[in-house]
Amino acid sequence: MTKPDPRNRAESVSLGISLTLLIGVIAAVSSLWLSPSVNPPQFTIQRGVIRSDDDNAYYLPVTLTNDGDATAAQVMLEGSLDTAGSEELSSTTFDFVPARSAVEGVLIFSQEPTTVTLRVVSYQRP
Amino acid sequence: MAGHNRQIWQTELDDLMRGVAGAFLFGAPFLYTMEVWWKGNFTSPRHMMLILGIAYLSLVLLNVKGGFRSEQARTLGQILSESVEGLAIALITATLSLILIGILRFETGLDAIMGRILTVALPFSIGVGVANNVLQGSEDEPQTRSRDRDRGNAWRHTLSDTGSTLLGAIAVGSSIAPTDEIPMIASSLSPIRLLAIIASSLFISYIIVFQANFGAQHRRRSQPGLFQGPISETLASYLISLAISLLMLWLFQVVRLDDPFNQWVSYGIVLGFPSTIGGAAGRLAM
Repeated sequence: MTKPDPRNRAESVSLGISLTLLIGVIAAVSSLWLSPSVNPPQFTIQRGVIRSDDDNAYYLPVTLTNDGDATAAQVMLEGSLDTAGSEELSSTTFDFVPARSAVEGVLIFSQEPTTVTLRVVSYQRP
Repeated sequence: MAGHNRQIWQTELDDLMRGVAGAFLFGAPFLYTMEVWWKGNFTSPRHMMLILGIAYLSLVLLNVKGGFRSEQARTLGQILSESVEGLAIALITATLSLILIGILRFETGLDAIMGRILTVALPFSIGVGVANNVLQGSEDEPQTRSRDRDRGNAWRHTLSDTGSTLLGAIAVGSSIAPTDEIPMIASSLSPIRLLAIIASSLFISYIIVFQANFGAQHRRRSQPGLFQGPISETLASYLISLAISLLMLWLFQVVRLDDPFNQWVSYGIVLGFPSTIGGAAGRLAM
């Protein structure tokens, strides 16, 4: 056992890859740590293309993005549509919207929701 | 020298695959627990570092007497570097399996991605650490069992392998089937994703029993019976585990007979993933 064990080459390749990966993970976590979550959840809402079916239901896909640094739970998104004197409401709740991430949902209306107003009504701090 | 060289890489591959197998054997139930990924949504970076540290420490402790390499680490340096590799295996397998079941997506923010990976990687790294203890088994026992088994015929081997696959698949399948995770995971998966889950189930089942050079492997190859070709064993055990999964889903009324066909298919494939791992573990344990 005086000569170097040749097995070491394969093992050192694994170790090299593993170390690189681990350093990457530590760097990613550190970068999150160094940019502490100061901004509370902040939402932007994007509308998708309206789809309708035969039963006069209109489907409005919405994308909700949390631009803040903190996760929001039970995020309730509401759309209100003024139609000929009355107001039609439709809402959906997202379980979790993590920081800087997006979720998708669909709101359903009985009239074509071209003039719909979308807003986040409430959320919980996990 | 070239042959020797190939041997080196083969051994290394076997070692790494043993680590992967251990990770899934221990980690699969955690992967199918939504609370684990939910907690990942709001794990602070400080907690993430702590989880990473605990995972590494567990691996160091486990590597003193176990680990995933066939050759046990002797020096402190070897133990420490084997633990780095073990942690990397856990992180890679956790990431890939979370992507596979649709929990990690592009639009998931970095906080949640890292949080989910690290919370799942903790049980996976313990699995890597105990890979040898769980999978290598005792060295003497197979000898006597092998002689005993050779006297039997192909049918008996097939029957006993089928039985142990059934038991393993039932053990894991029945504990996961009634949970909400199955509909939750299945409903968000595209057909391509389902095919990927089938492929992964087959691959992991294969490496658990064959590729990783476990204790029982050499014995297995010399036995007659349906379960003896690596490919036919993998396929047969997958089909058994899939059947068990469907049975468990039906027993726990997660799917009913009049439910649409695609629901049966997607639920079955999603539960088939941990069940197959259980089935493979069952064949090793029996």
